Formats: sequence, structure tokens, C-alpha cells
Amino acid sequence: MSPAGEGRRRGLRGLPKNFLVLGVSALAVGVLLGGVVGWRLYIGIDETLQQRFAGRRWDFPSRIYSDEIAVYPGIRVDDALFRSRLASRGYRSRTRRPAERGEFRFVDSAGEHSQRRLELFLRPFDYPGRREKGRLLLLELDEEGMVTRISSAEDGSEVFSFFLAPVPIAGLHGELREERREMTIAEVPGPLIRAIINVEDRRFFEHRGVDLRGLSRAMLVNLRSGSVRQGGSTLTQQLMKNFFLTDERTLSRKLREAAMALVAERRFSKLEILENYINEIYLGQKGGVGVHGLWEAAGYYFGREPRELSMGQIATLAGMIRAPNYYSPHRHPERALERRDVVLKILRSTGDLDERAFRSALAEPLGTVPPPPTSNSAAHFTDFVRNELQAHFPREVLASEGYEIFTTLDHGLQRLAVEVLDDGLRRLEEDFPTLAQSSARLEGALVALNPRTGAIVAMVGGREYGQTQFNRVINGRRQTGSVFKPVVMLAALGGERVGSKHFLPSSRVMDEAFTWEYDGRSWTPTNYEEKYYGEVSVREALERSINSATARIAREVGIGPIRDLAVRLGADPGLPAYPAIALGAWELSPLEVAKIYGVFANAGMSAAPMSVAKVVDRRGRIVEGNRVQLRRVIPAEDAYLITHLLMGVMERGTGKRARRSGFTRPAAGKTGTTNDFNDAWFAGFTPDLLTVVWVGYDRKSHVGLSGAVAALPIWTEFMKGALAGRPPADFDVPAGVELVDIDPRTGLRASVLCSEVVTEAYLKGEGPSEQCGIQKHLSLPGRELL
Amino acid sequence: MWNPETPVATREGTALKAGLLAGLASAGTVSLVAVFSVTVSCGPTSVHRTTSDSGPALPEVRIGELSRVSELLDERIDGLERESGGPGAGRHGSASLASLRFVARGRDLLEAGSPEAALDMFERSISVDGGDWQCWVYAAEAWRRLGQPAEGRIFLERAQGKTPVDRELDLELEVLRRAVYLVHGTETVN
Repeated sequence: MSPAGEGRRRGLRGLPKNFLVLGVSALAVGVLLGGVVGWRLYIGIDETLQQRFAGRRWDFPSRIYSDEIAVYPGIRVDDALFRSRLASRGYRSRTRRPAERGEFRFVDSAGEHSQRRLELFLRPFDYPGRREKGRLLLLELDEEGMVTRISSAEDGSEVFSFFLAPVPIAGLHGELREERREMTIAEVPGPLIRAIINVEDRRFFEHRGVDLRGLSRAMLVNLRSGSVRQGGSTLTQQLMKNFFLTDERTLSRKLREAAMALVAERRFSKLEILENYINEIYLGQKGGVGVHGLWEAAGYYFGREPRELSMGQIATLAGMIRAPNYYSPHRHPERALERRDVVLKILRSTGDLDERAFRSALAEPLGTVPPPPTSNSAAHFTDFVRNELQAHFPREVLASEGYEIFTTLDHGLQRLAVEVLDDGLRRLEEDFPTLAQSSARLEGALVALNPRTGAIVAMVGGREYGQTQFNRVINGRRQTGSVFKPVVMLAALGGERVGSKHFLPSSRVMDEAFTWEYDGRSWTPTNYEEKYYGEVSVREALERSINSATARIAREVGIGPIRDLAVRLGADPGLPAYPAIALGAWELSPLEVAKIYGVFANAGMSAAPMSVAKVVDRRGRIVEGNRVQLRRVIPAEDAYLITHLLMGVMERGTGKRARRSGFTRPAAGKTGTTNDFNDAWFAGFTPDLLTVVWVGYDRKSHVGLSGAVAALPIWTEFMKGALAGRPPADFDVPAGVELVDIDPRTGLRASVLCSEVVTEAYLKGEGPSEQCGIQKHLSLPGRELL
Repeated sequence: MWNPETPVATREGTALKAGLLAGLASAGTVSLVAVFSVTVSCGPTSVHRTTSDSGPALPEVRIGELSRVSELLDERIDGLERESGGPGAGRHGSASLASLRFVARGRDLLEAGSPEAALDMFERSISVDGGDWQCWVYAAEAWRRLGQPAEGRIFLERAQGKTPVDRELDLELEVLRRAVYLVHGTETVN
């Protein structure tokens, strides 16, 4: 053999040897590197998973709720307001006896003892500190639809009162617009778990995160059908995708998803994975907000907690997971029903449902509750609440901590207020076409409070929130016109005698043009249409809203004490002390006006306006609770004197249009119109409800209508609707006030010789003693003529 | 100034000791003094009363004891229930009746040691109809039991002028009034 041949042989023998060594080495290095990389990858995934599972898994937006509604004998339930209260809470009218929560029917029993009845299957709910039970109640009604007795259908026992649940008004979301309520695996009903597993991942308890058998089956089905019919993803994979990945359909995403699922199954138990899945799963849209988790979906679609779901409803939810919006029982009930039946058949085939249960579930209607309106009728109020809360709860906390914020808002009254304001403004534009021709839009605001507690029950900050979010109730400071006059009268009549002169309601004053000199300047108040009445009483000056007479009283009392009194009552401390404020030439917001009138309505006490009652965290703990805050501002007697005058405004004065429009219950109020006719107001109250309405343009241009024409009709319609279902209440007369029948022309005690008699309120000891027609020469303070 | 950290029992005991004897002669209690003479034992915050010749013996009143208030509440509820049972009656009184029933529920909660929940009921009662005095009195008592007697003053004040003439009731209200006006072991009488 030649050396060359030998060499070739060595080389041939040697090469494979080297290659082998190299190959083995490379493999070893590769395996090592792969192991390191794989290990790093595993550790990375594991850390990510642990962080997600152990830490904050989701942001829970806080939710704002209205107040609950108390129902008791004396309330009218057969009217539009109560029916709208039921509808907004998802109650459904039935022609048969209610058998499920959330159903009701009105019954007219014919015969000799005919009687109306409302049968109401109450929905249960939790309010901070208490739980209202779901139960069938029987409400006996009188001929006007008022409740005369409430009893339990179960045992016939009398029920003194019950509550309708608060209505969700708004969610305080962050960037992620999702709503969910978390539940533990123990809270999920077994049939629901079985339904989900059977439909979505039958081998969930057998595979280790990725189900190769399921994947092959899905591929086969897809190949046969020529389209993607089955995903083949396990619940664990779906959860990984939802937690960490996107919806993109790429191989790399699928591989990452599978890797994560494998790691997750090593790290966490099946039940932990399942619990996360049922809380994470997307189940449709609530307007612009995603519905996530089974609890949220059960409440949204069926108005129930998961444990209360029927078999049919369970199957509907389980069936929706595949395509929540396509199978949405709200949007596509037929599809949802079809899909539900498919799920029920699967459950029968797996033995989870016997034939009887299957037939029964198949016969069920979908049983959905109507979706709550996605537009927020209380958007200005929501902003107000958000601002009120911000002192204690930063925006990001509200967007993530899932607080339940229970407010004072009466959802029914809020909707009524929105409607009434909108209708009222539209009618004005129709009746006075120049209002609609203006380049600006006629605006309005309405705020209503319970004067005893300060609870804000309705707030409409403008005509359309979508156009402008400016809340005129809070920030719309405008001249008040005659709405301010009761403050002048209070300073003049009040027992505190804050001014330099004291008046009685029957005191006579001259109504004629005059000039008020002050600080080297002069001011000449003028009457509406420059009409003067000569001698009038204090009462007449207010009832007919006479400027000159009121200004004359203000001059005698002193503008300083009037200004101080206004601030005490709730006006901005920046209120200056110049004569024109007596006629409302200073700007106040509707809420400030409400504060002032609230003192009159609440026996001289100021109840701080309140919007948030309680804030509860996700564990049900009250983290903030607001209480009724009262403050004595003026004596009850003084408040009553003004209330009594304002009752006269409703009966005989500028507010009597409300009476003509059918608002008959005891009420007190005052119109307000600014000199330039830019602003129209009405502020008025019953013992139960105080409402202030403002109408005008944002740019302070000419409306040309008085408060009686522009604002009072809106006030009247609101009050009529809001109070229609409640028993009327009278104003309490304080012990220090006496009601005396007098002759209004002389201010003397009435006798048989008087041609006209009215009842006047006086502080005890101040009423007239002389009778009319008995003495000619009078020396009473009430007869002093200014 | 009111010091919320001072234990209620200490405040009540010390202040009552000084307060009730001296205070009964103060404004608004003149008529009471004419009828009763009052002595105080500071231990369990109780008030022993002896009667003058002009009236029958009255039971001892402790702070927080509102047995007469409670009786009158029940009487009023019974009265309104009877009224509402009559033909055509009760409609106007129904808000009042509902309100008082909330008070009664609050009273039960108060007696069960839940002043916070009780105050919720009293506020609900005020919201429905504040025409009767009982809701205001009980709200004042709830505030006292919550350790914030000063908050109760305004509620008690709101009841003024609405209460019926009743010696036992007057005394209970006077004891409550003094309890909510106690400040740093001394008493402020307005």
C-alpha cells in the first residue's frame, strides 16, 4: 500500500472519529445550552405565572349604585314611577302568579269584595349592614293603587316595609373597561363546573395542560370541515392566552400558550386553574364594557347569583364561552337557545343530566333580564360623586379596588328629572321659537334633595351630558333674582332680629320708586314693568315678588345683616354687602340655592348635601360611611315664618301656576327672574322634597322669560311625578309660632267685621291683638308705614 | 372640647356626678325641679330619683335608658295602626307609621348592641318622615352609644317642641340631654 493510500485510510479512519467527537460534543453543548435556555424559560414562565396567580390578578372597577327604595303602606305602586322602578331593577310583569324572583303581577279580584293586589317576588340583595331576602310578597292596594297592607305569601305574616335593590348607575373604570365579580371555586355550583368542562375541555382533569388527543381531534374536525370549527385548546391554555397573550392566530403564540399551560399545570392545582378561569372568562359586552367571569355574567344576563341559576341558564352560559357575542342571549336569543340545547344534549350524553332534568331544562325559557341602559342618566351626578370621593380614593384606586359605592340618588326620580327637564326645555323652544333660533342652546339644571337629611336624590347638570359635561348644578353660578328675597324677609321677620328694624308678615310698606343711597353711590330698584302698588304687606311684597317694596325692607333692615344671614344659610362667603344683592344680583349655583331653601324646609337646620352614603370594599367591609349632618342655622320659628310666606307664593303669588297645573299638596316656593331676563329660577319644597330649577343660556344671553314661565313648569312636573306615590305631608308648626286669622288689608286680628280673612303666622306674642273694624287708630308695629 | 379618647363611662360618671345635681336648675328644667329632687350615683352612671309630694314614685333612670320613650313609641305605632285600620283612614299617617316602624327596628338593634346599624334605621326613618320626635331622640342616643355624643345634640334639639308633656319622658330626655352635652367631665348647658 502506498504511503498516500495509508494516509487516506488514516484520514478516513480519523475523520469519522473526529466528527463523532465533535458531533457528540456539539450535541452535549446543544443539550446543555438547550437545557439552560429551557430551564431559564421555565423559570421565567413560572415566575410570571406565580406573580399573576399570587398577586393582583384583575383590576376591579368600582361601581356606583343608587339608593335602595323603601316600600311601605301608604306608597302608591300602581303608577308610572313605581313601574319604572321595577323595570330598572329587571322585574318582569307576569300574567300568572310570580314564581321566580324578579316577577310581579297586578291582580284585580272581581266580586263583591273586589280588591287590587300586587304580587311581587322580591329580588334579594345586600346593602351595607343588612340583607333583603328574596321572597314573594302580597301588597294589598286601595282604589288609587296605594298599598294598604303588605304580607308574606309564605305564611301570611304582615311585613311592615321592604326595599327595592339599589340600581347600578355607573362603573369607575381604568383603561381596561372590564367588569367582573370574583368568586371562589367553592361558590361555583357543581353543574356549572361540569357543564363548562364538558363543553370546553372534557379531559380537563386528565391532561397536563395540553391535550394532544383533543388537539388531534380538533385538527381532524377542522380538516374535514375545511374551516376552524374546534380550537383544541384546553381550559388552561385558554386561561394562559387570556392572562398573558393576544388573540393572534400564529404558531409562535400557540407554542407559547402551550408552554405556559404546561408550566401552569406543574405549578398550580386543577382547582386553582379552574377558579381563575371562571373569573377571567369573557362573556360578552355591556355597552363599551366587557363582561368577565361567571358571577358577573350570571348577574348581567339572568339577574341572579351563580348558585341561583337554573339548569337551562347554566347551559346557556357554558354555551356562550365559545363565542359570547354571537350566542348572546340579549342580542341573539334564538342562537343562544339553540346553543343551550346543544349543551344540554352534551350533558345528557355524558350522564350529567338524566332524561327528566334534560326535558325540564329544555322546556325552560331563556329567562334573561333586560340589560340595564348603557347610557347613564345620572352622568353629572356620577362626576359629582367621583369628585366627592377623590379626597379619600384616588382615581386609580377607584378603578381597581372594586368598591361598591352606595349613593343617595333615587334612580326613578333621576330619570324623571332628566325627562322633565328635557321636555320642559323643548316645550319652551316650541312655544317661544326665538329660544331655539339662538346660536346657543337653551340649557337648564335641576337638583332635588331630601331637606331633612340633605340626601341628593336627583341631579341634572345640563340638557345633554354628551354635548357638555359642565355641571350647572354645582358650577353654574348665576344671578338668582327674586329667589334671594326670602333671605331679606328672614332678616326682617326673624326672632333673632339681626337687622336694625323688625317687621311682621302683616307689616305695611310703601311700594313706590325710591333711590337707595349708600357709600356715596345710589341705586334705584325698579319693579317688573315699572308697575308700583302703593301700600303692601311684607307678605304681598314676597308673594307678588315686588322689587321696590322688598328693597325698601332691605334698606330698613340693613344690607350687612342680610348678607351675613345669607352666608350663614349656605351662600358663598364671597357674597358682597351691597344693596342690589337684596334682589338677587349676586351669583349662586343651584346647589347653593338648595342649601339656603333647605334651611327653611328643615325647621331652621341645615342638612349638609350628601351624595355618597356608604363605600364598601370587595369583602363587604364599610370603608366610608357618611351620616346625616345637621347644623342649627336659624330658629325653627323663623324658618316657619318664611315657609308660611312661601306657601302664600304658591297659593296666591308668582307660584300659583303650579296649583293650576295640578300640584296641590302643601308646598312653599319662590320664582326668580333676573333684571335682564337672562336667568329663570324656581326654588320650592314640600316637607319631603326640595327642588331647584334653573333655565338660561350658558353665555348669559337673553331668555326673556320669567321664572314662573320658564322654570316653574319644570319644577311642577317634577314635583308632581316625584311625589305622586307618596302620602302628602304638612309642614310642622313650631311651638313658638301662632297662627292668627287676620284682615290682610289692615294686619289686624280678624273679626266678623272683616270682609276678608287670611291666616298669618307670627312669632308667639307678636300677633295682633286689636281686631279689625274695632279701632280706627292703630299703633301696632304692623301698621307702621314705611 | 370634646375628647373622643376619654372613655365614655368615665366621662359619663364624672360629669353626671357634677352635672345632674347642678344642672336640673338650669334653663329648660325648671318644671322638673319643681317636681323632683335628683341625686346622682356616679358608679354605673345611674340616676336615683326621689319624688316630691306632688307626684308618684318614678323608677331610676340610667343613661341610655329610654323605657318611656320606647313605651310612647309603641303607643304611637299602635295608635297609627288602629287609625290605618279604619275606613279611609291612615293614608296620611302611613309615612309616619312607616317611619316609626323603622325607629322600632332601630331600637331593637340598639338594644342588641348595634348602634351603627340602629343609626342607619333612624336615618332611614328621618328620611321617610321626620314628623315624629322618636326618630330624633333615638338618633341622638345612637350617636351617644357610638361614643360621639356631641353628634347627638343636634338630633335631640330637633325633637324639641315635638315631645308630649310627660314627666317620665322629660326625665329620660333630660338625662340624655346631659349625656350628650357632657364635655371633658363638665357640663355645658345651653
